[in-house]
Amino acid sequence: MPGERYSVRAEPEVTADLRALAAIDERLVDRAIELMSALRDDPWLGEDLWKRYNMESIEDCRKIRFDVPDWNGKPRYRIVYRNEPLDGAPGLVRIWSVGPRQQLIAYARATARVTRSEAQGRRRRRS
Amino acid sequence: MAWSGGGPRVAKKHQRLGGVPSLTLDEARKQLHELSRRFGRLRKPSDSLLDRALEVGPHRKGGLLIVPEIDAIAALERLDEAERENEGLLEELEDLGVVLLARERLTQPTPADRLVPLEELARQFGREHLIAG
Repeated sequence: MPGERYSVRAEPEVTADLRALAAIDERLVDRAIELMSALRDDPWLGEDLWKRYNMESIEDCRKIRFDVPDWNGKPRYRIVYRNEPLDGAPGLVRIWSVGPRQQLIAYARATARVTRSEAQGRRRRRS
Repeated sequence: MAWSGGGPRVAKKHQRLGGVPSLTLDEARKQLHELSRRFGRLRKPSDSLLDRALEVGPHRKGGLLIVPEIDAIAALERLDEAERENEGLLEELEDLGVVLLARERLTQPTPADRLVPLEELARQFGREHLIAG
C-alpha cells in the first residue's frame, strides 16, 4: 500500500508549456505527466541543483531531464520544480516549468544581455 | 562586386584555404607515394588541419584535400574537446536559467490555491490514465 503522497501542483503557465510540447510531439506530454506523477511518491527524483551551486534561490529546486522514448541523444526537455515542505502534512511539489532545455538557455542569455546593456547604460550615465 | 562562378561559396573557400599549396591531378598522382611516405613518418600533429594540407584538383582548382593522417586525427580530437567544452558551458547556462527562473518565481510566488493540481492538468490533456494508481 503506498504511503502518503506529495501534492503535485503546477504554475498556471505550465498548461501552456504542455500545449507547446504537444505541438512538438504528443509523447512529450505523456512523459512529462508520467514524471510529474512519479513526483507524488518521490519528490527527490530530479537533480538537486542546490548541491551543485549552493545558492539560496535554488534551495529545494530540482530539474528532471526527459525526452521521447526513441530519442537516442541527450534529453532535450526539462521539468523544473521546487519541493515545499509543509509542517505536519505531505509537502507540496510546485512545478515551475516544463519545456525545452533551449528555453532555459535562451532565458539565461536574454537576461545576461539585458543586465549587460543596463550596466552599460548606468556606466554611460555616470560618465 | 560580381562573383565569378560559385559565388560567395568560392570566395569563402579561398579565404579558408589561402596559403594551402595547390596541385594538379597529374602532379598529385606523381607525388602520391612520396607524400604517403612523408606524411606517414610524421610524429607530431600540426596546430591546424591545413598547416600541411595540399589542395588537389584539375587546373589547380581544388576539389580534394590531402592531409596527414596525424593532423586529421588531431583535428578530430580538437573538435571533440570543443564539443565537450560547449556542452559544459550550455549546461551551466541552463542552470543559470533555472536560477533566474527560481528568483522570478520566488519574488512573486503564485498562491497555492491558484496552482493547477496534477490531476487537473492530466484531465485537461486527456491523460488521466497516466496518473491512475
